[in-house]
This record gives sequence, C-alpha cells and structure tokens, in this order.
Amino acid sequence: MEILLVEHRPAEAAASAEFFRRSGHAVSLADSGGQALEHFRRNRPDLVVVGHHPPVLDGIGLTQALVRQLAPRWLPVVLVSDACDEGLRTRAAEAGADACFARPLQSAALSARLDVIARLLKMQQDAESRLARLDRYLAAEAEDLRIARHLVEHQLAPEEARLLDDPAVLHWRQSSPMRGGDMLSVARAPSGILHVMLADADSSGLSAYISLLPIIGPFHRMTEKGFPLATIARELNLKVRQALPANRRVAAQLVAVDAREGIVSVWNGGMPAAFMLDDSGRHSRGFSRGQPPLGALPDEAFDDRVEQHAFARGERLVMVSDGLQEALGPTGRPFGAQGVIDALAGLSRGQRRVEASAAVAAQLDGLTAHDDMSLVLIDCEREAAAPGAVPHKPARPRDSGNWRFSLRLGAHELAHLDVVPLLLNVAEQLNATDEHAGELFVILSELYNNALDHGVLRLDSTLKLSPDGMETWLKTREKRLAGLSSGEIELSVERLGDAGEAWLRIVCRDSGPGFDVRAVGQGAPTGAAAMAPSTLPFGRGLALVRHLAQGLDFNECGNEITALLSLDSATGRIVAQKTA
Amino acid sequence: MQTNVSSFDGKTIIQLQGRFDFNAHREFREAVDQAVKDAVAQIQVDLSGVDYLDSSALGMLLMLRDKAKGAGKEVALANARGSVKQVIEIANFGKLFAIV
Repeated sequence: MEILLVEHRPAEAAASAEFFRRSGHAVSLADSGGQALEHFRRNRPDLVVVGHHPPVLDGIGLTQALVRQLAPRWLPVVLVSDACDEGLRTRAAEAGADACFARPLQSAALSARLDVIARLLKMQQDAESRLARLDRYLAAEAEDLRIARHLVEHQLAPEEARLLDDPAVLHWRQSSPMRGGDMLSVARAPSGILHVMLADADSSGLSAYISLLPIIGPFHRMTEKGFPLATIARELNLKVRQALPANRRVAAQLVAVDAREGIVSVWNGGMPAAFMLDDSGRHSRGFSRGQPPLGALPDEAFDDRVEQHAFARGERLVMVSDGLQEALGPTGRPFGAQGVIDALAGLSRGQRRVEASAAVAAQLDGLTAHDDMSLVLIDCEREAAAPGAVPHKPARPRDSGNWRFSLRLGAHELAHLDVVPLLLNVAEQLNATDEHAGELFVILSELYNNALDHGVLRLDSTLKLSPDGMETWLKTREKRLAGLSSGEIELSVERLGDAGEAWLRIVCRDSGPGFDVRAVGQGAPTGAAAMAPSTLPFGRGLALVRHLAQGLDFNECGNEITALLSLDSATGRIVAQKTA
Repeated sequence: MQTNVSSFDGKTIIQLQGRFDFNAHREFREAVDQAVKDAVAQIQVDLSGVDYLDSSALGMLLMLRDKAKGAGKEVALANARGSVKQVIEIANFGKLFAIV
C-alpha cells in the first residue's frame, strides 16, 4: 500500500516509517495537518497514518477532514498516539478512523490490521471498477434503446403516424426506462373503419422494439387496403413467425370500430382482456383473454375469429398493457382492471383531450411499474348520419333510380382489362340487371368485341374462313392487341325511365373509322324471331344484339352503336316465346 | 371458364362452367380436341353451368361441330338455361345441333 505518515516529531516519524517499510509498504511523510492535506490531494495514498500530538497536531480533526474529502468512498485511517485509552479510541472511531495504536509501532496486531485494510481496499477497488463497467453498459443500452424506439416510431409515413392523433383514440403510456415494447398503432380502412392495435413484445429493451418491427408496416398497409381484422391478425402471426426467432412472441390486441354499423370487433392475442365502459363509466361488457400471442401458433392452428359487440351510445372500449395491469398502486395493491375503471371514472365524454390526459396521467403517476404501462381509450360513436339515413340492405331492383356510368379505355386498358365482366358487375351493383343480366352481357360483349376487333384492331372477319381460321384469327388478334399503342373505346350504360317502364341504354364508341352501316343494317328487324341459321364463323354478333335489344342505332360513320334494352320482364319473355 | 371432359355409355360429355365467351377459347379448344379424340359416337356439350354466352361462343360451338363432323360424330347441346338458352334459340342453332 501507499501510506502517508503524518508525524510531528522527526524521530518518531523515522521509527514508524521504518516499521511500515519493513512490512513492504511505500511511505511518504508529512509533518503538519496542512502538509498532510496538501499531499493527500495530490497523491491519493491508500492509507493515512495520523500521529496525534495535541495541541500541536490534532489527529482527530485531521482524520475527520481527510475522511470527508474522500466520502462517500472509504479512506482507511489509522490513528497513532502515545497512549491509546478507551476515550481516545472512541473519538478516533467517531472521526472515521479504522484503528487506534500506541507508539512505538511494532506490534503484530498492527501488521494484521494493515492486512485487513489492504483486503478491504482491494474489494472497494473491484466493486468500483465493476460499477464503472456497468455504467458504460447501461449508457450503451440506453442509446440502443433510443435508436430502436426511433426506428419503430419512424416505420410509418408521417401521414400514417398522424393517425395516432385520431380524436376517437386516447392513449397514455408511461415508459419504463430499461424496458419497453408497448406500442399503439392506429389506421383507417378505406371504408372508414378505425383499426387500433396495442402490441407488447414479450421481452425488454432493444429486443422488444425489434420484435415489433415485423408487424407495424403490415398492420397499416393491410388496413389501408381494406383487409378485415381477422385476415390482418393471421398475416401478423405469420410475419412474427417468419421474422423472429422461434421462442419470440408478440402480444397484440386488434380492434376495429365500425361507426356506420355500430359494431366493435376485437381480436386478442395474449393481452389483458379489453372491456367496454358505458356512458356513466361503468363496466358494461368484457372481452375474452382470447388467443395466444402472435407467433405462438402455426398458421393451421391459428384462430382468427374476432369477438363482436354492438355498442350503445356513449360506450368506450378500454385496452391496457399488462405493465399497467400488474403495476402496484399507492397502497401496494395491484392496479388491475378496477384501478383502470376508477382512474377513468372522473372523465366525461365532452372533456377536452388535454384535460383528460392530465387527469389519467396523474392517476398513473402514483404507480410502481416494472414495464411499460399503456392505457388506450377508444370512443365508440355511431356516425352522425347513420340513424336511418343509409339503409343497410340494397334497395329492391324496382326501387332503382336512374343513373349513368361510362368507361373510356385507352390502348393499355384494352390490352389488359377484362372489360365486360367489369361493367356487368357495376350494373349489378346498381341493381339494374337482375333477370336481364344475361341479355346485358350479350349486348356489352358483342358491342365491345365488335369495337375492339374491327374498330381498333382492324381485324377482317374473312380471316376466319381460312383452314384453321379460328386459330389464325386468334393469333392475329393476340399479336395486334399486344402491340397496340393507340386506340380507344368508350362504353356507357344508362338507366332511363320510371317505375312503369325502364330501359338500359348502352352506347359503345371506338376510335376506328367505322364501317358501312347500310351493309350491316340489312337483316332482321329488332325484336324479331330467330335468325336464319348460318354456319359462317362470323356475322352473328350484331344480329344477336338486334334480337335482344329493343333498339339498335348506328351513327353516321359507323363507329358508335347505341342499343336499348328493355328492363320490362315481359319483353324478354315475348322474345323467348316467339323463338320456342 | 372451366371445362371437364368425361366419357361413358358411348357419349362424351364436355362440361362447361362460367362465362363462355372469347376468353374461354383456349380451354374450350383443348376440351374439344380431347372430346373428338375420345368420342365413340356422340359429343354432348353440357351448358348447365354456363352463366353467359355470346356470339364468339356460338362460333366456337360451330368449330366443334365442324371437327366432330370430320371425325364422323354428332354434337348435341344440353341443359341450356336462361339467357344462354335464349341466345342459342335466337341463333337458330336448333337447326344445326341436336338440342337436348
């Protein structure tokens, strides 16, 4: 050890120094309190041996001053005096000295004591270096955590992140410094349905945040594309299984609020059960604990069923993380679901967001937690327009009003779209067709194919007359369609009429030069009985339309055809009877 | 459109399902080739599963008739309903095919 020896009298200093050196220690000397303090500041010896010579050298006072300088660390001090009685020994101990010995210093007891001090010093040094290392690790982990949190929070585009401020969703989170992993996501489906996910990774710190990465993006993207909650839950389960090690799970609760229908749906994987509060803050309905966390089950065993609840006026859904559920309240009892209900009791619906947040934050402040604590409150409100305004069931066909839609297709669409079913589908959605879907299909199909084949692609029907004519025709058609760089077809369907009599007017116009109207114009008049049977491989289409439609008109140059289809069910039957 | 070809009792049946129009050409041609090869005497086109049918489908039925004729076989159209039946009647296919 490095020993500072403070002695007033040179002879005693020399004798004592000799004793310490013989025991293998390095000794420096000081002859006054001032010199001792000065030396101590500069050289930091391991042990100070203080000679007590009142009134010249106040060993007790000096001991106190030295010990205080190093506090709270331990400085070993040995007091040396001519006589070491009980009184002095007590005062020395009170001042912070570890031992008191009488001169001359030659005892085996002092040597043993020095060994003890050396051992304790070593322990103190070891502990200090371990602490310093731990501090470095903690700082590094805090930095990792900060980066991970940033990474997670910036997975979303700014406009997606802004959804967190949805006025229907209130969220409080109190992060635990070395843990983390509670995360709230909010997204809106195209239909306006609100999706909220509270996720809690089954780990702490950095790994918690990394575990959340695979599910944040998909939750948002799938919601935006209109996928239902069950499909999203199933996909997130797959994502966790694919992206994370086999023993990693992510607990998550997914909620969908359909304001139009007044239904809230919940899928819960391993989070505390969500519940509803009625408008006076009482528990009105609980949801089940649900399924194992995301990633626990293979896809075949995954249960994507959601629980649904038709909410009443003023109901709110409450979700918490288990950090909050397990947190200890001021009285040392778990906060639990009841604690949450109590904490929310004072909130009224109309309360401003900021005030509500402050009130709940104050309640959470008194809790002792070992994990992130999250509390999410979702206002379930029917859309203002909902009562009676938007009938859920589609109207009966007879109630259908008049409408018109048209579609203009360029070269790219002509080459890639299956147009007829598209239009037919729209017409069906508008309740236009019902029993006339087949006729509308034939008319749309004939007009469109006619416009495409002849108007845009300029195919000649006589191609079909060659041996293998159909093949030749199809190959030529395919080739021209693939190489199509210009051309356009516009189709429109319009419903005309009133409750008594209704019609569909179908107009098809192409960008081609048209054809000789008079040549086609001959043939059976509209609405007539069967055509003459022909075995020619072409020329049947427009004749077919002429039979099904109640009117068929061409414009002057022959690139626009208008067909009129009666929606009166009797008309169709007349045609059928005549042909039977 | 989906096609299925099966033979029993001296008859080969081409079953069609869905929308029978221009886009169904490939499937239909493959079914026809197989049916003509398999058939003993008669080929029957079962239209019970067809929702829609247009003039290009009529053209394809005629192609089947030609191929079958070349192989010495008869073609019958079976189970047409709704607008499919209507289109076949308007085109007067009863004069070209056996309708059953």
